[in-house]
Amino acid sequence: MESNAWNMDAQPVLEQLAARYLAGRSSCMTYARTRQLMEAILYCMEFEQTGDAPALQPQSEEDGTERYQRGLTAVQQAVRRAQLQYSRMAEGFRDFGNRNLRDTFHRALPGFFRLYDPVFAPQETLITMDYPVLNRDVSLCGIRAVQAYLDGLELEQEFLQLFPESLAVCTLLRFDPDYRRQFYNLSGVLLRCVLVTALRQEILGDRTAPSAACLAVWRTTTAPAQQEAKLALLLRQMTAGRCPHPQAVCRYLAPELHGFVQQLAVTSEEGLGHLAVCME
Amino acid sequence: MRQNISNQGRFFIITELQSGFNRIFHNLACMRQNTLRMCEVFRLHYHTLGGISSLFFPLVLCYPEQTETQAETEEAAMSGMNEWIMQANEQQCLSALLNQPEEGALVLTRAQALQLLETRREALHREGLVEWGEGILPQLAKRFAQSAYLDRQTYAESLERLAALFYHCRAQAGERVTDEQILKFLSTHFEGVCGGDFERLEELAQERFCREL
Repeated sequence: MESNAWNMDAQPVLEQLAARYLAGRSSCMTYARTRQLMEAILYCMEFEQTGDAPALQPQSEEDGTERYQRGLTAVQQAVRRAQLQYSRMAEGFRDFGNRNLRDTFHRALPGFFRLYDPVFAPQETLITMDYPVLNRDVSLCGIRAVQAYLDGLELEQEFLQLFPESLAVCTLLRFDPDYRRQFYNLSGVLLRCVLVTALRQEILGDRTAPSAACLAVWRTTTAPAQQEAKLALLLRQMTAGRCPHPQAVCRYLAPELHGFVQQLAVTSEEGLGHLAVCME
Repeated sequence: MRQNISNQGRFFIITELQSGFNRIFHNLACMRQNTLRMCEVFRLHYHTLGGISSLFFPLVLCYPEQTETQAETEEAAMSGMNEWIMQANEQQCLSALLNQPEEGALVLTRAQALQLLETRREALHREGLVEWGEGILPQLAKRFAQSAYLDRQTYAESLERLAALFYHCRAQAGERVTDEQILKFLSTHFEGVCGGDFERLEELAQERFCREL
């Protein structure tokens, strides 16, 4: 419930929505159901207000019902857009055998589109989206959360398309033989591996040295800020001209670079080999 | 130094795990309050701080537990909304109550109808319900106006008891049971096995209502 003014606007809409929900079967509903419907109305109104399209009229002059209707239409359009995006992504989607990614994409997301109710419960996200994308915003809910999640997955897929399937699977297996059952982000692992491989040649001039040796030298010779800048440069070079949206992919992967540098600073000598493996 | 920090990181994971399990059991105990969602309780996250990757339950596992103050505020908000809705449709309900069309049927005076509306307000608040439109009272009055067990002296009081019983059944029944089914249950048993006995009807409503509907 955002504000009293909104509630006042939403109350007449609530009566109409309640009548539609009850469909003549009953005259009463519980507080919980009433609250759910009120949240649905406020979600649509807010969705309309913060959506891409500018509001047509100043809010103060608008009727709450009109604002709700426009919001509901915006939610329904967002669902259709997300479904189209999902269909587009499904062609050539790569999960490298990771069960969590496969289940989230091929089972959970279709389940969301099947069960999502834009009219009575647009604020419900319904699924947990267990595969962790790197730009997850936990404050979002409903179709907004799924939209943001799909955007993240799409950028990740752009990055993953850079790697041949056999090389990616081989690297992931060397990093963690059990990676198919793990819950971590695959693009983050492959990014670290490919960056360490590039650094190895540059720092040690040795194509066969293990990743731990490379990282041990690098962290003693380079400050964390410079490390992050170097990794960002390597990433830009890697994606430029190869990904359809290189800047967006770099922005998406940026938190992983920061995390990698932080981890590098606190990991023990013995643990360096677990941070990344070189691609062979 | 690095080793120490790394160890601290692992210790942090373990404490988070313990804390996470404690919260799960505590939160499961609170689930009756309907403030939590299962999918949030059992989520796993990948920890990226330590040298070795680990799965762990995050510290904040679910929506913040509702405090008493929050619950009271929410209750007050819902109660306020209920007031607003009832004010909007009480006039409609009153007109329908005073306008019973069938000849020979029992009727309510305006004062009795207003008292009935007061009973309805209390019952809805007690059962945690919100009523829309003109409500069930006109239908209830119409259904029992021809009852062989009611007379002019007891009609208003009887309707108050029936209204309270109806809203109780409504709250128990859930959304699948229609108003018509509840009305039919009450009138059939009141005219049948109960022989106009309200106490017997209330007992039956407790015993048989959920089973039969």
